[in-house]
Amino acid sequence: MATPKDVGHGLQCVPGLTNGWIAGGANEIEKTSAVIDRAGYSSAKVIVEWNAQAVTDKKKLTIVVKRYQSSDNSAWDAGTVILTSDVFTAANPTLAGAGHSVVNENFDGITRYVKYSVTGTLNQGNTDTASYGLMIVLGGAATEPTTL
Amino acid sequence: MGLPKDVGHEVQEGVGQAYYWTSGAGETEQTCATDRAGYSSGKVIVEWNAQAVTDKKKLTLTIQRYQSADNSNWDAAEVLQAATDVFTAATPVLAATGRYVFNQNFDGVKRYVRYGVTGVLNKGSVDTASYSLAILLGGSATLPTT
Repeated sequence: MATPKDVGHGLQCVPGLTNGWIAGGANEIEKTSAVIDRAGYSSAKVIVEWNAQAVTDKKKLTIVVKRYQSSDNSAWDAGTVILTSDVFTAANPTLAGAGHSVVNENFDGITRYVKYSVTGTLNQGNTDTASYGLMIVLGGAATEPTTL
Repeated sequence: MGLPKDVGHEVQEGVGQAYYWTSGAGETEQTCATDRAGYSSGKVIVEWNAQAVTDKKKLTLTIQRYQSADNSNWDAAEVLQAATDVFTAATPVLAATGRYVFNQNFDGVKRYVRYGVTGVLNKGSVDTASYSLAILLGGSATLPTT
């Protein structure tokens, strides 16, 4: 079967988030996306771009991604960890690194509303810096959804 | 025609980036390059976050694309988004977020593409911001082997 030439065909980008922080700072906490109404979409790609911008030798950057779900956009479950990884450990002379992690989401059995969070942690006191971005692309609509 | 249920069906994420900075340092263009061989279109997603901005000061973003046949010699930049003030702080609103999505048609575009983002905070040394860029490639007629 020929596939559509247009990547946008049947795909929908929904709001994600981005965050940067200094180790131990106020932004080293869980950050959560807006609520996503996935009605009509059966799967998604959750993309996390990360950048360990300045890390002390032997220290690391850890990324944890969670998915929350709700059937009514009001009562949310406790969240499910869909990714946890020490994405970078500094080793002199390599004190910075960047990359991305991707989680393919199958929405079979998942309720209508979802949201995603990222927690980035630098295990160095107060000098290291890092950033990440979370992007979510919905797809797999059997017919063009009317609710989004 | 029914569509594939799986969003991953012949859709591939390319190389993106994330970046955080404090005003007055590191406000240079950050770029990332992707080999798009086999893919005919893409979505470029840019999330931005004006994390802490002084009253009346702003965050400005410029987004550009470069292309190359050999991943070495790059053409001059093509502007996807000219310098735009995406956020101006006004007490009590001193932080904000947002995003851009660019649909890319690769007809006539060389094999290697590189995207650059320049973020500028027009405050001396205390404001902070971040952005990230992801590339989703698609539209392959057959599954690329490269």
